Amino acid sequence: MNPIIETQGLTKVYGSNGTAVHALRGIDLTVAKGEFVALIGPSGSGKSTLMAILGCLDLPTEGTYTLDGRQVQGLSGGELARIRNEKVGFVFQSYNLLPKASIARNVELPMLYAGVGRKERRERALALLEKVGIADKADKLPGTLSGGQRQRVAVARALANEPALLLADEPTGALDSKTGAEVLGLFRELHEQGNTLLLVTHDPSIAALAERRVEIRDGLIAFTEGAA
Amino acid sequence: MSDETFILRSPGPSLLDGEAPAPRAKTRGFSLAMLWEVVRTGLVELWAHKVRSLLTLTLLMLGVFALVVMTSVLDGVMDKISTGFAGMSWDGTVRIAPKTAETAEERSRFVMSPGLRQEDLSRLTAPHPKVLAFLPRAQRASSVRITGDTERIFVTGVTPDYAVWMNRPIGLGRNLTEDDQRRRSTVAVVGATLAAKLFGGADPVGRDLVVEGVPFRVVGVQAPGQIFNEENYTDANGILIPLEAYMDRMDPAHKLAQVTVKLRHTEDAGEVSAMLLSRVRQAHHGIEDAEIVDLDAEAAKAYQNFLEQMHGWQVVLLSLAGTVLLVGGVGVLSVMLISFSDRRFEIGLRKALGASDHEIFIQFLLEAVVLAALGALIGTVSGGLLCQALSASFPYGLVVNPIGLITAWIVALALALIFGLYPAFRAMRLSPMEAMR
Repeated sequence: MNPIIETQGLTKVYGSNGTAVHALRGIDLTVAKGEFVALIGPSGSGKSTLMAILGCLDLPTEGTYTLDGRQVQGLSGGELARIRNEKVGFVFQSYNLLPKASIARNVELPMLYAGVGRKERRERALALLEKVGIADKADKLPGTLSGGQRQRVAVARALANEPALLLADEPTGALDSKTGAEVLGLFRELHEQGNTLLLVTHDPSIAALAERRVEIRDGLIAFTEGAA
Repeated sequence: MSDETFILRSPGPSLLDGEAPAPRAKTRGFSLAMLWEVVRTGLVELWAHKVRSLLTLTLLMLGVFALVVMTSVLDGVMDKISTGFAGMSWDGTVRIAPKTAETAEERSRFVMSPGLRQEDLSRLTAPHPKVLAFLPRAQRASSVRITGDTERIFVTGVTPDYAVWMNRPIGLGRNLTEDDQRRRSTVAVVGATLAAKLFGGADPVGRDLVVEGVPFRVVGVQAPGQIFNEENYTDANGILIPLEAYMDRMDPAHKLAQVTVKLRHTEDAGEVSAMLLSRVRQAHHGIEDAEIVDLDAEAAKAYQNFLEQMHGWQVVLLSLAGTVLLVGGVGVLSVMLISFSDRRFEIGLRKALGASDHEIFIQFLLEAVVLAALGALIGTVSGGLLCQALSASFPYGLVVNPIGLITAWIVALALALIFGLYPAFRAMRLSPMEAMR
C-alpha cells in the first residue's frame, strides 16, 4: 500500500543552544493509505508538535517527511499553505468555525483558497453538509448550532478539498459522551470509505477505535499497538 | 451509536470516498472571488465592531468631507469673485483722467491748461455712435459730523446714470435722478458701509448729513456689495451726490477726477480712446493733459492679488484637511492592530485551511482600504449634501470639485494602504500554530 505519511528521523527543536527544547527526538512513522491511526500520549509528550508537522503547519528541524508522495521538509510557506489546502483536512477540538460566516461559507473556505468557482463551491458545500447530516443549517451561523453539529460542520469543511489525510485533534474533547460517540461514528464511516485518518487523543477508549495506536512519550514513539 | 451515523450511506455524488477525481483548483492566488471574500469579511468585521469602526471612520470621513467641501467652496468663492470682478463694470470701458506732468516740459505746458473740468464735459461727452454712456466723476475726501463725532467720508459727484452703468444697486430709498441733476439738489445716496457706521441699523433716508457746512438730504442707501477696487471702496464709504451740486458746493474749481466711457463694443476701445484724447486736446487748445487709463491692466492686477490670497487660503485649508486625514490614517492603523489581535485565531485557522501568507497580507491590507473607502464614501456624500445646501449663496451654485473629490479619495486610500501595511505584515508573519494556540 502507498504510504500517505512517511517520516524518518523527524526532530523538532524549539529555541537555541542554551534553552533549546527538544520536542521531537527522531520520529519514524509510516501511515498507509486508508489507515486509521490514533496518536496518543500525555500532554508535553510532543504529540501536538508531531501533529503540527504532519499537518504541515510547522516544519521539522531535521529529518524527512513525505506526505502523499510529496517531500515536505524545506518547502516555502506558500507551498506549505498549498499542501495544507489540498492534502490535509483538519478537525480541531474547539471546532474552529468562523463565527460571523454562515455554515455553508465555513465549509466553502478551503475551496475558496483552492480557487474553486462560486457556484461549484456552494454545490459541494451543500453536498458535504448533506453527507454529515446538517444540510438544513447551511445558512445558519455557527453560534446557533450545538457542539455536535458544529463538529459535523468542521468535518464537512475538512473534507472540502478531498484531502489525502484527515487530521483530528481531540475532536470529541469538547463534546459530551453521547455526541462525542456520534462524531466518532462519523469518523469510522469516513475510515470505512477509504479515508486516511490520524486522530490525536489522550483518551484510551477513543484510541481503541483506531486500527493502530501510536504512543508518543518524550518526543519519541514509545510503542505501537495494532496492525501496521 | 445513533442513527445519524447512517446518513453517510445515503446515495449521492461520491464526495467522501476519495475515488472521484477532485475538481482541482482552476486559479490559485488572488482571484476575484477572494477579493469579494475579503471585502465581505471586512464589512462584517466593521459591522461587528460598530463603535470602534465609527470612531475611526469619523476622522477619515471628516478629512474627506473637509477636502470636498473646502475645494468646492473655494471654487464657489472664485466664481463669486469673478462675478464680482464683472461687477466692477470695467468691461467694455475706457477711462480718461487728468494726467500728472512727468517732465519739466509737460509741467510748463500743463500750467497753461486748467485740467479736466466740468466745462469740458459739453465737448467731451457729445454723443458718439460707439459710446453708450459718459460717466464723469468728481471726488474729494471730506468728513461728516454726526452726534458729536467726526467720520471721514468720500464725497463723489456723479450723473444719474452712474449707478445704472456702474452696477451700484440701491438698497433703501432711491437713486439720484435727472431731477436732482436739473435742480442741482443737495441730496445724497449713502454707501452701505458708511450708512452702517453712521446710522447703525436705523433708516437714514430723510435725514440730513452736513458736509463742509452743506446739509445733504439722504434719499437712498446703496446695497452692500463686494469691494474689488478703489471705486467700490470709496462709494461704500462715502456719499454719491449730483455732479452739479458737487461743483456748486464742494469744488469751485470744477475739477473732474475722471470720465468713464461705456463702449457699445469692447473692440472700439482704441478708436474711442483716440476720439476722447482729440476732444480733450481741442478743448484744451492742443495741450494733452489727460490720459487714457488702462483698466484691463488695473483689473488684472487686482485679480492677481486676489488669486494670491486665495492660494494662501488653499494652503491653509489643505493643510488642515491633510492633518485630519493623517490622524484618520493613524486611526486605521490602530483599528487594524486591534483587529489583528482579536482575530489571531481566525488568521491561524485561515492559514491552516490553506490561505497563504500572501493572501492573509492582502486580506488585512484590503480590509484597511475597505475601512477607508467607507469613511471616504460617507465623507463624500455628506460633503456633497452640504455643498448642495450652500448652493444658494453662490452665483453659479456650488458644484462638488472633482479634483478635490479625487484627491480626497486618493489620499484617504493611500493613507489606509500605508498605515495598513504594518498590521497586515504582522498578520502575514503569524505562524498558524502560534495563532491557534
